[in-house]
Amino acid sequence: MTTDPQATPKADKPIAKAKAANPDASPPFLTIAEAGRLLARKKISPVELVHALLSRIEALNPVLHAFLTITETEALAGARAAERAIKAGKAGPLTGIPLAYKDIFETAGIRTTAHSRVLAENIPTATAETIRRLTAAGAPMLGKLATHEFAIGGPSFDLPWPPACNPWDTGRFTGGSSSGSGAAVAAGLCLGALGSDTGGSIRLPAAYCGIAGLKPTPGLVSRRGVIPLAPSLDTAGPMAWTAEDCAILLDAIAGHDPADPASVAVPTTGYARAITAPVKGLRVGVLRGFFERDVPATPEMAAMMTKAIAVLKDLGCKVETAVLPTVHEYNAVGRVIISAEAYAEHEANLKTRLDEYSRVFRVRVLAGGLLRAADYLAAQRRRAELIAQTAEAFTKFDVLITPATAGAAPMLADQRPDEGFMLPFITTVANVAALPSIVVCGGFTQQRKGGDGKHGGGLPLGLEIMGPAWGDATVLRVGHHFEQAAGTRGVRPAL
Amino acid sequence: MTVRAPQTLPSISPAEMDFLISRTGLTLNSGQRADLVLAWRQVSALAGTIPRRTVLADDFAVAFRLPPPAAKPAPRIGGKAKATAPKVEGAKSGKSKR
Repeated sequence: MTTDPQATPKADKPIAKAKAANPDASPPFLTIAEAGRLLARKKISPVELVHALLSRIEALNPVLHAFLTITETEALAGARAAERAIKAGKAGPLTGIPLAYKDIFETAGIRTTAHSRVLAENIPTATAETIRRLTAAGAPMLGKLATHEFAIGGPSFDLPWPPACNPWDTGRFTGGSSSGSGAAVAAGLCLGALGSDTGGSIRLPAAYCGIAGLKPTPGLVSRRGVIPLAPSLDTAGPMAWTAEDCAILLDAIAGHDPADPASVAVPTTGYARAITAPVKGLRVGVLRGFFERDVPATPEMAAMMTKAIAVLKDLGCKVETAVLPTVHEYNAVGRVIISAEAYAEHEANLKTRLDEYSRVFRVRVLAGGLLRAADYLAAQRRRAELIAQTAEAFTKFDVLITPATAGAAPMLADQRPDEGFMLPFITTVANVAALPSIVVCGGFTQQRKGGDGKHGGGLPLGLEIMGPAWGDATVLRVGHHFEQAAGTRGVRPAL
Repeated sequence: MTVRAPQTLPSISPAEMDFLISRTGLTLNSGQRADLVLAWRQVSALAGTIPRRTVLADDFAVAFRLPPPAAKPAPRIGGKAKATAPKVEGAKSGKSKR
């Protein structure tokens, strides 16, 4: 642990200052936008903010298991650099904003494990392009976050680190695979995080942990330095408490990277600015078939959708039912591609180090080694058709909405290794169809069942908003206005 | 929560499974083999639901997008051709946006 007498926070001072701007928020619970304003006005210092978060991590990580590695020295060095930038009048929206990264994003000189025994001692020599851009924007790094093993094998209990727990109820599943990112943001251990999303890995933890998570359009955000799962479906994106915060993060990480072959040289929007435009008149399609037929929603999730539709109508959106192919069709294509590509990525290690992988990883990936080339190409061919069919829906609608999951977070102990094969993920639709998609907190359950029984509040329910390719600003905008109107951002987990 | 399964899982004989595993070069213990049988039946079922309408002339499923050829400098008569660096698609000169 690095110590620095000059950086020691004075008791409660940052908390008092932060409350002056937002009476309900202590520093760990500030949004990125709020913290940015306080930092720019010198109402709170980056060093104080980092100290407040490190203290919270120290207190809560033994319960939540969200961090695999805590980079205190780097965090404080980044905070001091941010302090100098602010004093020099060179602060940007992310200067001094403490972030953390899913442990499949490589960090030069800092262990990057992919939550796997296979990479337990892996010290990369280069840093992922996304982290490089965020660091250049002045964001201190608090550490590396839990994931499902190699972004697919989890939750697992036979690895060196336990799976992350849901801050709303520690007996429940965070969703995955960006499990630590979801838990850490919701619990106020960091103000924002990066995750990766191949079949829903940003948006499932966003849904179960009650935060916002954006899977961008493929090609918008560089994947250089992100350990791949299935390269033809992999994306990297932001996770934060609000859609506005995701927009601020996206402003920093979006943009062409010639070293990522999938990166596309398209002009990037000012996302944080774009989301303020009103949503009146936008055409919203409700994918009723997804949650009334394909993945039947719980009564509470169905009620959340009814309220969400009412909120969007009140905002002036034109809401109608939309129809796409079934979730099963997208899921079959996604699972075959993920199985085949993930097996190919790991084949060499699986032949020599099979026992070092978790059982969940083996169940989800080994079958990819038995697939035929004809099966894989049929899946890719069908994907091209589904991309075209889904794009057609956006001639009638600006966004499509659906619940992200059937219901609230299930119990951690009830998770099956073969999850995702028989139980389709609604989130996989956007991966297969190559769309931008955000999940925001749509509401909460009335009463918690099971779990640790310590807290009386409900569990979060995720609303998914999909847009046309390159419509990232639109899904962020709808998510932002929905959050503001629905008032779902005022409650944090009681820990 | 009950979710509809895509279809009945296909069966596979021990001999067929042994053959498939032998092609991978993997060495599995009995527990790992049992897990793989379970997983393979499910993945195989999903693969079986994917339509195989083959219109050969229309198959663009796999595409390679090569960068456009670098512009060649126009030959100069009576002088030296100016050396140019190869162009990289999307690369910008001058100040970065960020």
